[in-house]
Amino acid sequence: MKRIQSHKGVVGTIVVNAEGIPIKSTLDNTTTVQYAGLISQLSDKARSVVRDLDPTNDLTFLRIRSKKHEIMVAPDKEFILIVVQNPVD
Amino acid sequence: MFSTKSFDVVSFNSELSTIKLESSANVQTTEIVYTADDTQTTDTRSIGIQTIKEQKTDIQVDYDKLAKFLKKVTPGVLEVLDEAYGSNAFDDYNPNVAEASSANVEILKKINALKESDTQLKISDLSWSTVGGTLAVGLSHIYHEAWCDHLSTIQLYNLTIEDNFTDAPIKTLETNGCILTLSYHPTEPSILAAGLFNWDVLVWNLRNDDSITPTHVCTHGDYVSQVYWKPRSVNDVALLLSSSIDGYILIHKLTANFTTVQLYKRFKIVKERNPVESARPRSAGGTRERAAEAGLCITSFDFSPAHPSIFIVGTLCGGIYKCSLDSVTSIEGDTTLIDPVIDEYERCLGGITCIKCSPLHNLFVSSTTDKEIRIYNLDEHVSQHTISADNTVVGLTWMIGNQDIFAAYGADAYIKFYNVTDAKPMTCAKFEITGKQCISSLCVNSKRYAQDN
Repeated sequence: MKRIQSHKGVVGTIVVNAEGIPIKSTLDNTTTVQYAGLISQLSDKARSVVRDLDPTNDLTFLRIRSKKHEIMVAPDKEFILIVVQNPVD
Repeated sequence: MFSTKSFDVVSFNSELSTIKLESSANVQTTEIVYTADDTQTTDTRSIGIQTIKEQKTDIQVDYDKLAKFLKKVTPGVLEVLDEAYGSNAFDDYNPNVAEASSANVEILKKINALKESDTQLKISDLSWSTVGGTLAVGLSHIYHEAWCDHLSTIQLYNLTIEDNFTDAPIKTLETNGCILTLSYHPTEPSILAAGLFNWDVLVWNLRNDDSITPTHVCTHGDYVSQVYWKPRSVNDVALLLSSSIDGYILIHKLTANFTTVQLYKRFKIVKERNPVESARPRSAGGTRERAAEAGLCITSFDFSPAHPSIFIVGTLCGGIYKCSLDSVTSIEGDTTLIDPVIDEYERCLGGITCIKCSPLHNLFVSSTTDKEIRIYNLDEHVSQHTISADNTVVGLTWMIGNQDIFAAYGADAYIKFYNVTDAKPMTCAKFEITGKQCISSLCVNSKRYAQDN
């Protein structure tokens, strides 16, 4: 996580468990809870979309590009890694 | 028995009394004492809250699994971070997502089909050719007091690949009556049908540059309100339907390269379909007279895309009728004349100006002269939604792209857009036509987009 956090432009890193509860975070408490709740929901939805389209397929990575940030989501069975990056630091 | 007797006159002086009686009386009111009392109501509520002390459980994390997960995803994440950082992929990508989407309407080209001196003329109808490369513009006089013997024209304009129109029409078709309705053939780009004010229905084959003599299809008993090409199966000929104010819908088959015309079916919306007319006593002429008389004035009709034989007819008296091409009910014993009506919808107070069936849903939209737009389900008698327009709507057109959206135009400088599923106006999609105050025709190019007023 330190390696990721020290990467250029990374604003914060959060690890969320399967229930959407943040386990590790480099962000403040409020932001972490907000990101964890919303992103885990989105990740679940994205996974179900991929699976609905093709039941043999699965979601491996999710990138959300916004005006300010790029949010990268690496979902897994038990954990979700969320990395918030400011790509034009 | 009776006798006269005189008596002496007796008199006495009158006397005026000067003594006045006076009496004094006292009125004593008792003092009223006001007392003010304060009234204060108190409202007390006691609420008991029972909280259970819950032990905050620490989240159990399997750090081995977490480490394994991080080890697995870290290289990929780092790679993506590298890629995203400093990437210029989104540099010029600046979608205006924060602002509400609005119809950005741009006039590509203004065609002056009419000279400024032609104040008595208007553009009555437009039709795009099936490939979208030619626009036919029909002209008509604004007022007709009696029989129409005006010389009118249909002007054809070419749309180039660069979305440019030719300034002058590439071809002008002359007619001996005002054009009321135009329709390009849905599959043959060179075939154009027109309905005239002098009751004629004509078809041009524009393939041959030298010949601009039209094929005369039929003559109605009044002016033609609509012409419509009904595509059929691949090997079968197309049918040309024409409706008129005389209440008839005539269906013709055009064969031999659209030069031979054969009457296929005659439909009539009988006057008895209007409840006011149905109470009419039968005259001595009886059946034959009724069979020969005009029907209800048909102003518009359209076919349902879901049911190819079903079409909806609107009349000037406000009646909306569900009709079938397959109907076999003869009128007054005349087997060549068929009553196509299979069902009726809720009547409108104003005359129907336009009817359009939804290309996607089992719905149709009608506009009336009493400034109402109604949305009906084909299977329900009562309208689903009623939209009140500010001005009379003379026409409706489905939009390309989102075919849930239809445009309504008429005695207004605005073209308004509505969603057929919920009848809600598309507030951002409303644009004003400068200059003139009413729009007589709007035609959507299947590939590109144009309108006229």
